[in-house]
Amino acid sequence: MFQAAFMQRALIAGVIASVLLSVLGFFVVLRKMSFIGVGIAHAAFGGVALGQLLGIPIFLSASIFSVGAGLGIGAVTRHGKIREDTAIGIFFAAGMALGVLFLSLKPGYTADLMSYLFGSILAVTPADLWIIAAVAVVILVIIALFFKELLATSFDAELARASGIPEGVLFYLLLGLVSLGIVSAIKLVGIVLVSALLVLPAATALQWSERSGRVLALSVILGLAYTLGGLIVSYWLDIPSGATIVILGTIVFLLSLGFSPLRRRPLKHDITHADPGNEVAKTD
Amino acid sequence: MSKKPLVSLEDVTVRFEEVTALSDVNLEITVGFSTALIGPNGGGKTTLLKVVLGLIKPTSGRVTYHHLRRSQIGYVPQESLVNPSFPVSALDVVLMGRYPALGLVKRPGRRDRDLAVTMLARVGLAELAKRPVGALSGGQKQRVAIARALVGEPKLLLLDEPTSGADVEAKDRFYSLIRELKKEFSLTVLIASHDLAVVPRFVDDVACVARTVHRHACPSDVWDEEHFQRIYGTQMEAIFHGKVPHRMVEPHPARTRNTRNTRNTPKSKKGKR
Repeated sequence: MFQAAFMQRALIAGVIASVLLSVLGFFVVLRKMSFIGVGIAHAAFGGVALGQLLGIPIFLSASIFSVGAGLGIGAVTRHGKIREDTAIGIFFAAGMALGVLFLSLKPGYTADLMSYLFGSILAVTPADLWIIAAVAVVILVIIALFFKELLATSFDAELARASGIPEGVLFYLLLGLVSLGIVSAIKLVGIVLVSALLVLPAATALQWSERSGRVLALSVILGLAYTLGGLIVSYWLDIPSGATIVILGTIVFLLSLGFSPLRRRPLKHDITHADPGNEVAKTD
Repeated sequence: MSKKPLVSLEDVTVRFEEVTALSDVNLEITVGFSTALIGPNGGGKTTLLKVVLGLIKPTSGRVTYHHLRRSQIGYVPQESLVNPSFPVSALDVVLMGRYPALGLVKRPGRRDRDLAVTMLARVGLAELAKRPVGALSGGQKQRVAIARALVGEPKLLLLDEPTSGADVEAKDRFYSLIRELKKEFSLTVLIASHDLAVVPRFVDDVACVARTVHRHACPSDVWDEEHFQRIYGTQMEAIFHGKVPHRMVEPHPARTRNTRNTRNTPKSKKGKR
């Protein structure tokens, strides 16, 4: 099955996209903004349709829409008096509405629209592969450079700001990176399902560890497993790849939830006996 | 102790839309002093701390820092470590206190890690270094937050309602610890609290915050009924158990529109810091 060039491309693109989205998802889930991926991805639909209407590169137009939506949701939530879920709901619908509008203006049949909505391994072109690879390298380098700041601001934004970390800049930076990451994976899993690849790996990894390093590593491993496993299964069974990836991830998540060692924690971290923390620090 | 100012607030007013949180506040934070900001809930204590921190810009008035960089202010917020499911250990959180000193991009090294371990031990939590923050008790979280603040090697330590919810005994231990740490690390300390019974005994100075600030040199006279009423705005009664040994403060000066600090009233000037 790996002989076919399209399948090779799909696998490589899948590996890159799942690593990228797992790392981004680590921060998104920890910041409790999992739903933002859904809003950003659907807003990108407007960009996809506009790109098809005007004949400009779809990655470019979709990026403009998704980054605009990502930063817009962030700005409205932060400075306006609107809750994040409301903002996401509005950007989500506006992006989709623009997409429908642009499509109605384009005469004739829009061939690969379905592949953008639901993803298609057949749709990944060599050019797409290069774009995904370039975007991934840029995003992962930026995250590696600012990892400790992104972690500290995700943990406690106000405390980070109080200590002089440019929390606002990092917040928008993360939203921008998440938006770009989502756009680069849209062709593979589709607008409708891409946010699952953002959320599922980290949400599952958090059931297994309470150390940030391990959670991050496990997220990446799980993301890879979902994508590769999903692609292979979908190829054998001849079912849609995006849906297979997400269903696989959901099954693993539910199993993790059931078997999570952390859910049984209260016994392990019993603080009732001989707790050094309840003693007052010794005077010198 | 010579009275050198560390931070001076002059005619600081903070308005949030219609609400005036602080009005014409004049306050000098003296080097090496511990000051309690006492006042009712909603009286502006937290706002005042955030103005000193630089998190809130005053609507008018001026904040001056005397040889104090922002990274040298340690802050322990009212609700510490509010994200219990976050996958970090107590030591990880303390280490985060080193990030501002490290600057962007640079990773913490051996010295940062050693310092974090030392501070965690200093607040009595050495054995809990690896425990996930979600599994710490409220008091332990509070002390992790203090270790996090100290690891940044601050000159000024700000504590916001650090013992709300704790019993009197725990409060006593907590403020004793703060007093020791102050001495050990030559800190200047500012504690916001509505706790009249405990906090004033552990500080050098008390300032009452109820939209504006009345400064008291401690210790002295008496908290009388009228006094409470002025501060809290309602009829109140103070009930003391046993003797009345607590540190008391002198009455406020007559309440006029521009009640000022009794000593060194600075010239009123508008401007940004």
